[in-house]
Amino acid sequence: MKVFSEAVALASPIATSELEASVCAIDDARAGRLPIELMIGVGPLSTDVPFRVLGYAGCVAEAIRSDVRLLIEPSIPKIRLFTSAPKTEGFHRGRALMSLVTLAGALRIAGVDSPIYLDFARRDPEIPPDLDIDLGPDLLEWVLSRDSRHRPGKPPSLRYALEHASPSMFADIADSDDTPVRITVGGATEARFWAVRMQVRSAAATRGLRIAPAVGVIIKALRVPWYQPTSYEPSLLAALRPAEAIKGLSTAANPARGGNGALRREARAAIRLVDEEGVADLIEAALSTERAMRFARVNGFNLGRRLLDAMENDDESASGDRL
Amino acid sequence: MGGIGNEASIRTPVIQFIGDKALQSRRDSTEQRETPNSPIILRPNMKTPFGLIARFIVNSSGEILEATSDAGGRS
Repeated sequence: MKVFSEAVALASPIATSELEASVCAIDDARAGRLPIELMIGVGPLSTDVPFRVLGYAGCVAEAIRSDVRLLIEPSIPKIRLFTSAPKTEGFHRGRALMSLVTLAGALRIAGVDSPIYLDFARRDPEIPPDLDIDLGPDLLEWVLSRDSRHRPGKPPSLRYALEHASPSMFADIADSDDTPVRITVGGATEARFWAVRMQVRSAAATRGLRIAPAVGVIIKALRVPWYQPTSYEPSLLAALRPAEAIKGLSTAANPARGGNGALRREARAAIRLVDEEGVADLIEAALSTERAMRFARVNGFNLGRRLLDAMENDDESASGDRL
Repeated sequence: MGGIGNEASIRTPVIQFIGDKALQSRRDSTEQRETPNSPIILRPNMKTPFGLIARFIVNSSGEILEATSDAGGRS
């Protein structure tokens, strides 16, 4: 009997019918009757792209080669990367673009050759505000305390967490008739958001909204989102001198030297990949929005309408681009 | 992109029509069913409906549960 390496998140235990639908959808996908999308979310990047993006991509690539392949073989998935940054205060379009493009490029370096789509989430709220959503006390406390940390001084809100189920993020609430099977791949934070999404799905289904079949593969060892780097981590630019970048990230991941042990797995993966062909181009892509856009096009990434609209909009007050 | 709440998006949930026939064929073969919408509690090391064993399971609070030698401890 084959065993998943990572944590598996199912449309469960919300409702039997949800779980059955996911199982049937995976069966259909394996038989080529339904397309599959891997959903990888990126939160707002508050600083320069960290070197760790390479390690995160390496870990995701491993999960795709192991658990995702076990689930969907022989089907070939599309990969949808999106950033939730537009749904947050202080949205910075240049950093949002950079986070998507560098992660996509890092996935290529890590050996992922599926088609990759990049887009921004919609800025406007998409989840109906009057859905009857019960998160339960534990999850509610996590959501509210997280919101307070990220928006200090503001009244705690569920909105950002609930929006994870929206069509322009993980797309639990479907936006078209030809809904693919969607497999979420991400770090431990996605487990909490997965639970929130399941409650939104349940409320939406009760309302009669369309729900997409979904499965999650959660890499539990990844506990610090790469787009929220710790203060001691080297940036991707530091990888111009690989030895220094390796030393910096190794230290940042070493608790005995004041680092955070939760970075270890990504640090190991980044070190494995830093000498691969393509890293120099990836670093250059992180130098400006123009270079990032060029890198995306040269590498054949598919750019979504919201991303293109945001990058073509020169109104800085609307986009928040300060690059 | 179609928005939520517009006329086009309020339809029968996809979960009801995807694999409706396949669902029917499984009615008698899936374990742990009580009523059509009753919760299923998956535990670590339990065979998932995909025919694969999961050592780790995300529970309804978003915690990751890990199998232990006692069959189902918390990570």
